[in-house]
Amino acid sequence: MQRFLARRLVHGVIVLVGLSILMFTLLVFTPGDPVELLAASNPDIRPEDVAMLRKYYGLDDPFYVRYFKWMRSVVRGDLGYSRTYGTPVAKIIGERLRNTIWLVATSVVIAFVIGATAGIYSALRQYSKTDYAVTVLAFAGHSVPAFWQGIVFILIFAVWLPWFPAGGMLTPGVAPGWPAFLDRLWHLVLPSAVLATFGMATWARYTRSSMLEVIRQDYVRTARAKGNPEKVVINKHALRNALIPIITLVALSIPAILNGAVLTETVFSWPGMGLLLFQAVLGHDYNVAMAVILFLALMTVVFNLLADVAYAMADPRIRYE
Amino acid sequence: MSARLRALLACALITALGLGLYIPSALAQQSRDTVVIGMAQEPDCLIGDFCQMAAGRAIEANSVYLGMVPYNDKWQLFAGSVEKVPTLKDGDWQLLPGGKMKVTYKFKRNFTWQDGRPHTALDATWSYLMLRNPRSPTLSRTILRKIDNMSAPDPYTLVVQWNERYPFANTGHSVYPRHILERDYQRDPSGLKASRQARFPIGNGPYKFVEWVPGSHITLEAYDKYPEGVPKIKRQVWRFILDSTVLQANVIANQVDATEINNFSIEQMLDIEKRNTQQTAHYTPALIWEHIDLNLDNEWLKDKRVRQAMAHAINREELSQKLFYGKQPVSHTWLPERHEGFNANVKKYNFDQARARALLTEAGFTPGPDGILRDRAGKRFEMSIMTTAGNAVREQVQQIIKEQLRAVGLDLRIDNRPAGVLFGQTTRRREFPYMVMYAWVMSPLTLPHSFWNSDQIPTAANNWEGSNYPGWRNAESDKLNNQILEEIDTAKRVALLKKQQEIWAEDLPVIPLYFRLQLNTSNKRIQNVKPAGLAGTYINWNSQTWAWTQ
Repeated sequence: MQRFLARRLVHGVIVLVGLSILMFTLLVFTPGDPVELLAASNPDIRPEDVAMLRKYYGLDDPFYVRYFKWMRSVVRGDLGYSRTYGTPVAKIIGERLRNTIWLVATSVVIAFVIGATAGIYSALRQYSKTDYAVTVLAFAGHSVPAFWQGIVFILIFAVWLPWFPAGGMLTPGVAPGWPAFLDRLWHLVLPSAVLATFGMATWARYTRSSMLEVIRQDYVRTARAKGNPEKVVINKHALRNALIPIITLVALSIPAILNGAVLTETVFSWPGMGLLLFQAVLGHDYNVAMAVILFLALMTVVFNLLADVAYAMADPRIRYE
Repeated sequence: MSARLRALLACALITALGLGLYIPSALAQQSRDTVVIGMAQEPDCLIGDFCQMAAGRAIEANSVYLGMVPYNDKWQLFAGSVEKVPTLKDGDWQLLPGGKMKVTYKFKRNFTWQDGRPHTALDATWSYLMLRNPRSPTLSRTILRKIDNMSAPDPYTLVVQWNERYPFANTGHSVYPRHILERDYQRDPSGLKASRQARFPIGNGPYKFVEWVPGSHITLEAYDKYPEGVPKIKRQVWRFILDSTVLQANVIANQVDATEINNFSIEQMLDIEKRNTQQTAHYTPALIWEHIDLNLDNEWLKDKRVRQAMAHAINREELSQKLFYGKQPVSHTWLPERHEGFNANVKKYNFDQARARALLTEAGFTPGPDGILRDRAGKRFEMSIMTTAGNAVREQVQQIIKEQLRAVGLDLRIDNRPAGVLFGQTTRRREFPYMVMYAWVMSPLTLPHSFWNSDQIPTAANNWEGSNYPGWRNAESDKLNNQILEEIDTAKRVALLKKQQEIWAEDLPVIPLYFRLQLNTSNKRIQNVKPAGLAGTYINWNSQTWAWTQ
């Protein structure tokens, strides 16, 4: 297992470095130099001002020199400064990461609880009306684009029926403590529902399949034959084994949900990492964009590894070398 | 469904209901003290001379700070933190030999910074030196370079020595708190954008900065010692909602009370008016000029008759009616009606397809077998038009123009670019082969020199300086532009501007389309909201006088 982990870590580092080169190149060669844009909006700006701004922002070096400087500072733990905000990137990301964790964690919990429950219920009542309803809803959940769903939710639940806020993370001026906590939850409802939709649909389908496979196994039949109540047969014998692949799936889905948060946070103006990435790419704020992209890539690598480790721990038949 | 599950669901429903009832009613109590202003942009910083985003300037320039000589909604200068606006007539603006000038301001004595320290001319002189320093992250030093020096013979008198004539020398200067910024400046001028003042400013205006929750909002509170009168509305909250559709939903749901820098279209505004009668939609004539630059280096477009024919072929009045419900007036010149220099008597190119065809025939074009004209060399009369990709309104305008030009024998191909590319390279480096459509956002301080002078055509040789993207060369216009640049007398300057517009309209280097409106919304129950329609003077320019009615 240790050799396996070491190998995976090395692979992870190679993936991250390769990705950083690719993303840095794409960002740098994206048309629309930020200083040129600034100059275009000010007809009186002089070439010497433009040159000074390029030097100030470090844009006068060749791109490979800029990449090397950036990588060197990242290895030393310095993510650089945001060109837009003039503040350390680490500080900006720290502020936003907390908000994204709120959103993603809530979505994952909602998606897992509802998705897994629906999958189990559907498997135990195969070919019933409930089963068909869950299947149709799962396909719908897979198909609906998050951006569209977000705007429709805002229209229905914030405009027509003003039950929830149409975006944002908190109501300015709300008292700290419990009122602020409840206010945060109130703002969390719509975006987490949108973000959870795809996960719910996925996990409902996978749980159903996994459950159907397990309840046909001999040991489940044996447990029933021993006279155990159906509840014990399902919860103690079938469910535990059915959830093993689901655990892996959850770990693999979290990076996907983190990436999906970009659209949801943009629609709901939820000040998280996704919205930060969107703003950074549009504003050519290279340091921030690179830091967020690297973070998302790191999460993907880490959660992939965690999924493999968790699977090995849950299923003694699995061994890594 | 089991009893336990039913009980769990019932509890969840009751909790949700309770939350749903409690929170909105609790929040309703706060709203009378607060105005929530929605923006489709988040500031990058709150020191105006370092900010790239207009959102930063909207908050700091009009609420946190009061400038020396701001503009009001009638586009008139008024005395802000100074006692009066200097004029030639009063002698506090003097013309000196050698093209120099001296302008004297008297600072109001009752103004302080919001931490209680006096707000004086000494802050102004220090700010000038700070901004002028090449190491400071100042975005533009163009006006600063026209100034020889600033001095303060006493703490409340500022004397500005100009080294050249500049018609707008009495519009004031940036003033920042020296006692707060100086330490950061001494440590590292290039780091000023990261200073505390850039994120948590202390100003001299009617609202004090309270908090900035990144990605969410900025909160300001009324400054209780503001000498011009404490604001009636205790709190301003500026919410950042980047998507204009979502911002529109917030307006309709009354979750924002006003909007600025909202990226709304006219359709969205009309929709807001229809769906929420508690909101007022403000359509304010602004200095935003939508037009099509023509590349005058092109063999066809260098002929004035071709340009005039294209202008006659486009039914701009119909365009304005169909797409903008008649709210955005057609432009015949490059200055709007509200501008002091506007000339209503320039040559106009009304929709006239027959005249367009006649001009093209004169220019040597003949009809081809496919309905598209051919030039003298037999080349097919086809061009491309560029604009900002993804801008639905502009794309609609392009479709209409394409059809209208086809009717006179010009085949137009649409070739759009993202805004970052269009404004970063395409226009600045004149990389558009034929036509490019976009808008200039001007101000009362805009002069024709950088747009229309032949020495302002960006080339590799001059390092791409200048904004004369069409590449227009006209000796008479150049002479007028240079005179306008230095003409201090308003009446004389206006006369020169009008003459320049006549020449411009005759030569037509650009196809003028229409003047855009500044679009804002505000709750009807807020009194005194008067959008100015000026870049730099935002909806909150007079927000200290706003009040909620019952």
